[in-house]
Amino acid sequence: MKPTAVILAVIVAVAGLIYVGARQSRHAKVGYSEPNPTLPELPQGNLIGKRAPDFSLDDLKGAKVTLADYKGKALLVNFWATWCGPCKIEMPWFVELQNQYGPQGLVIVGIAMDDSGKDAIASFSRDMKVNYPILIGKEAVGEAYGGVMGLPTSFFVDRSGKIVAHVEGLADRSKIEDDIKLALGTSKAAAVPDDTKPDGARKAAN
Amino acid sequence: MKENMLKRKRATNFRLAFLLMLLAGIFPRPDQAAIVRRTAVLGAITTFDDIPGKPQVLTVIPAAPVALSAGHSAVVELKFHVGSGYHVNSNKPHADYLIPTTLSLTAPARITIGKVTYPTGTDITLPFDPTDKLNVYSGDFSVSAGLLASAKAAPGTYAVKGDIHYQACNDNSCFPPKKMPIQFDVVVSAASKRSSRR
Repeated sequence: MKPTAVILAVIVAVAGLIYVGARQSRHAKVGYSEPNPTLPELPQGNLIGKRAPDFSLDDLKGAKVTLADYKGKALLVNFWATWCGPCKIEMPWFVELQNQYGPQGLVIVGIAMDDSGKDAIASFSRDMKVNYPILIGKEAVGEAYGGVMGLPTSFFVDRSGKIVAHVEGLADRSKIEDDIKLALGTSKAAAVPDDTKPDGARKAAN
Repeated sequence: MKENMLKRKRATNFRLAFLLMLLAGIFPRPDQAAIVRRTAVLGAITTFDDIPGKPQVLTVIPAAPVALSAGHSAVVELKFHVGSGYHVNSNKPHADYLIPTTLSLTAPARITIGKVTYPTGTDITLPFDPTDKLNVYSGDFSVSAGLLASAKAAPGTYAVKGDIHYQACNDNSCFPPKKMPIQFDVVVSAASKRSSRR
């Protein structure tokens, strides 16, 4: 290759690189980041009104459980951990609420977000006399639900699969019960807007 | 000869292109959202410690270098600060299910880590369960560790590394257990008769 051709090729390449660089710099100014194919996108903003992200997790017996298994049920999806004091306070309430509202179609699903192992989680759940399914959590599920910031965190899902309420941290039992009624459709509270059209939050988090 | 010159020219051109790539910002810096997203992938639950701009739950106060004569011992005091509104379990929380705060240190050859002493925590009860006493650290607290320099330790600076493992909560939420790195220097001087052996 002739030296002039090499120089021309370099000039073209550099011009291209400067263009790409300027484009990236412009995106950075408006808070844009290129999607990273190795990292799943976190759902942005509030999940209320959106379809609950699907999941596929093992229960304490090793059986796969998906959100779709509870089609037609009202759900309380509770993220918890064995080392979490406030979670321990809620669990007896959930046992009572499962007994009280189960016949109306409520299923409480506990997703354990700690790495203490299946046996320790099972032992803890037995001690707490848990009467609802406990699933072993995965990172991707926490992400799909907005990157759970702290525990406990609960999502209330109506029979159509739409998230109608979200509670971070320990809430009053009465607030939890109100949100259960909202999920069951027996509450007099204002209807939650429907925003269940396809978007990132509907992606399965397996 | 001519071929060599051409090769050199090509190499120079590539170097120039690489430099311009850098100048043009072709390598993007991670933005805050990307950092949070990556954190979320590494751990299912993000904590304030992971999110730029949010208050730190636990801050490690950098320790000053520890001066030590060869063949002698000293105690290093490592200081920590728990952010307002948060607490971490003490080294001896009252319940088995709670994760204690623990310090782990690794020293280079000729330096030995001695006994680690934790402060007594404060008993508290939280509004959500007035019957359950927790033993916690909040605000400032320090953990001390014994250090021994071997008599054969050559004068110089030795880096001691480790981490503090803790689990934090506030009044109504808890955050996943986390490790914060710790590092300090031990400056060993030649054995001196004036130093007191412990």
